[in-house]
Amino acid sequence: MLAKTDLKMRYQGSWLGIIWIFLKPLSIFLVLNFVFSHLFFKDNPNYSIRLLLGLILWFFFSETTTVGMNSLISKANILKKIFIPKWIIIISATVHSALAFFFNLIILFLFLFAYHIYPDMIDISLFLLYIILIYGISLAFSFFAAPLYVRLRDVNQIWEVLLNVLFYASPIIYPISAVPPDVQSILYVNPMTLLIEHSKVVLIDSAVPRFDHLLIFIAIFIPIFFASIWYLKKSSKNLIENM
Amino acid sequence: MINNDIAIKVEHVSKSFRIPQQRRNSIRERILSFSKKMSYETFNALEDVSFEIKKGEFFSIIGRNGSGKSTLLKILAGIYTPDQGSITINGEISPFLELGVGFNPELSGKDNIYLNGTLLGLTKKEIDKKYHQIVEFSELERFINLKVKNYSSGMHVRLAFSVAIHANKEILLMDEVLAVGDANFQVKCYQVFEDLIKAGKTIIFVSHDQSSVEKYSNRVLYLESGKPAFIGGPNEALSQYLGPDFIKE
Repeated sequence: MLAKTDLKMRYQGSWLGIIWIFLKPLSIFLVLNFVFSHLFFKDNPNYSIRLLLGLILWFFFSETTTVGMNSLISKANILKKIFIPKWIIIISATVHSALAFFFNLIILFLFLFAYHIYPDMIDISLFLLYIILIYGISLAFSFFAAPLYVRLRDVNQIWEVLLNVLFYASPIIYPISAVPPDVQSILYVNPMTLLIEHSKVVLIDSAVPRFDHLLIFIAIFIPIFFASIWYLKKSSKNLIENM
Repeated sequence: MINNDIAIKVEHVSKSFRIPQQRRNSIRERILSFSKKMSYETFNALEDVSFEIKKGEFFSIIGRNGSGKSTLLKILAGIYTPDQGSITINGEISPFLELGVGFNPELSGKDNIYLNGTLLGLTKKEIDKKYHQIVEFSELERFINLKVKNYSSGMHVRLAFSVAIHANKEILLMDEVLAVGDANFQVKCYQVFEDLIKAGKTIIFVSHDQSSVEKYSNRVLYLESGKPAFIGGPNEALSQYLGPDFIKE
């Protein structure tokens, strides 16, 4: 219900409505595509579609973490009056970005078909797993950051800067093979690197990614996710008093 | 253990707020003032409050501004956590700490009924069922599809009150929420209010309206700067609160 209201608020009155969802990633895609495919990666045939895939995944991550982090503060007026479990507020805030991501996926698949790339069921189900993992790490981040943001009001600015850093530290505008191997391993510290790179591998190359990497990733992710739930629970106490 | 006809049991609840001399709620400020010691002033909003409320009882809380009434209600509603003590609640609570929580001025009256109703703990089905009653009670049939920002303040509170009154669970927490709107509507409000009491709802009522407290309450808790000064019948409580000069009309 909260999510529905958010959506209504966001798009009511503007007939462009849904179009806004597409416009933001698409416009950035066009600019980056123009700059990079002509200047640097001329001989990479699928550069554009790789860029688009990376961007869409990236936007999903950055939007979800940002709204998730802001969710508690922006609903302060309600939280001060009525008891609502904090996780409901955080998750409902992320519904919008999940929806926007879903629409962007449609565009992505149209592009894929235009490039005559037809991923099979295994590719798509692996891709789905990556999407779930992206959503998972975004939620885990939000569970940590949303209560923290209530106490420390400059967390959002730090995250804004970090997002910029992480954007360039993810293989979005460049292929991971373009960086030297020892730098690559540093890049893999960024969780989005693996998820974006693997998505490219399964969806566009229709190849099998490194499963050992994926397993390590999941093995790290699961305890962090539970830690975030625990942290949210712990910090929910005395949270409203600080708002 | 909780007796079955007890709705709420509050045991030795204390709550204090720390008022920092200097706010330090950003990382930058924390780093800059790392060496300095944090100085706080502690404000005891509630100190060792204990009471029990029976099911179907009308329990009022009175006291001066800042005596901890609203803090107590927020603790009962689960918004604040007490520093010490425990609270046992037997039944579902409807918190009416404020009318029209979450009302969104950009949305229509209808959408706001659903939004506010959900926040007050109703499911969509329940709202569907009660929707017509709510609209009818608020007398806003003609304006229900209008955006709430275009409502007059009277219409606004009428809508909010109508939703609240239809979202009642077993235990109602009311903070100065009683009668709103014009004289006509106020009569209706008192009417529903009395119906709620008759229906055997447990009501916890915070108010400065002496006549309502006196008229409806079974028992009254008088809070004096966070400490329970008196629990008992409404007349004695009011005379304690207002001083010996209080004369019953």
